[in-house]
Amino acid sequence: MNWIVVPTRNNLQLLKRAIETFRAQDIGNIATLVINNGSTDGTTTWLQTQHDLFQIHVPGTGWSVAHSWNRALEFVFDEQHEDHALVVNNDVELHPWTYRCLLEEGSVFVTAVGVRERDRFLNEPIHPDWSRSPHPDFSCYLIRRDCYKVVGPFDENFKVAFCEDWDYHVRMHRYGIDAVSIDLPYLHHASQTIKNASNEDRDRIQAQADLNREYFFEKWGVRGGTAEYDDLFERPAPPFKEQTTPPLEHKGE
Amino acid sequence: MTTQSSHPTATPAPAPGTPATPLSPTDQHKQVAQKEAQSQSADPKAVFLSDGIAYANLYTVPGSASHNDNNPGLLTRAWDPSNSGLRVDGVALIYPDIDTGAKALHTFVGKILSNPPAPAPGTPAPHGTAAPKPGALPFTPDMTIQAFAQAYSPANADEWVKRFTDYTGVASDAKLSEAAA
Repeated sequence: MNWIVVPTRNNLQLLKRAIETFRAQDIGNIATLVINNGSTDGTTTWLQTQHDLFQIHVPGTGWSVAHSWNRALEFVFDEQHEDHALVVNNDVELHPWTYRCLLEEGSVFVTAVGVRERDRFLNEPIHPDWSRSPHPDFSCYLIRRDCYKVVGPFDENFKVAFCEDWDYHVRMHRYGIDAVSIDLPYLHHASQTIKNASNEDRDRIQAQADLNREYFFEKWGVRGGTAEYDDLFERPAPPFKEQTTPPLEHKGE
Repeated sequence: MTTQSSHPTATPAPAPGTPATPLSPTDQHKQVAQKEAQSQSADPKAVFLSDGIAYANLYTVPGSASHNDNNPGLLTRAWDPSNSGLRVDGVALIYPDIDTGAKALHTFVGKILSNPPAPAPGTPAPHGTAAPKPGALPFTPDMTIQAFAQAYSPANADEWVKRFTDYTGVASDAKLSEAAA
């Protein structure tokens, strides 16, 4: 089956739109796993009525992004014995050919590119030869078992959200995996989780995001999204045996 | 409050309005109940609820989806991952025979009854062995029959409740766990 993994916390209306575009994927044989991280806006009740969706309902404030992705990917790769999974945010809309094109591209880790404008999303032609960019977009990525087994799980020291994707990008590079995006657009209502969050939730997410940025700096010696961060990818990947995740203490959540 | 049915679950009585067919629907339903009762881990509570669900899903009506698909629980891949390789009719699985479909329904109900009750607001997210897993069902034993129907059969919840309560004698505001008690 072609698994789609989508963690969610509130934003039911966007989730409904996202799910419809998942069901319409022309590759067929779609199985969607929704990780409902403590939604309080009716998402839980709605999901109960969606009988084709695999679901995990996590109470409280739910799991972190890294934890959600890891549990879902372990389920797909280890229990379902599948080769690949598409992992997406709950605030996206996909073209029907998105899954098929990402799979046909052939890389062990490849992403589409989020666009904010619906016109651009709707009018972008399908390119016969995808142009590639070394800037993966972790809001819509296809990952294969081979990549996940080599690089390992997402670092769950990144609590709540933010920076777990930068970290994985660096780790993939150090394992010799070039993560790429192809110019396949998807509609991204970006950062809706935090934009629509309660004040309490927003404070919690932002406070932890700051801690995550510091943890990333401790771990890699650079700050994400900077020229120094980009330089990490200019260096050749070190020998395989040297790749380890620094065992740093990390406070938070 | 719960009004426990006096119907013996292994030999369910026909509900009012059950259509007559060459093979009595009651007999067909008996087959389901008997298969469930014969399953290795037959739990009388689960069998009782399974009977009501099968009846409410029109399993006793020839030509209904649940009857045609040998799927008295109208189970989907998400609800029966162990049989996710089977073909589907819409989203409902098509079981090869009623033995398999009845056993799957029994397992489905057993999973619901063994789920922890819905967590109270503010409950921390569980990790480790206590964490929820994919394949865990989104239904909990503290749901009322009415609430369960609204999630399980949202397109015709009221009719579904009526059929279920007619068959089992359980009140619509009874919890699933009470109905099976």
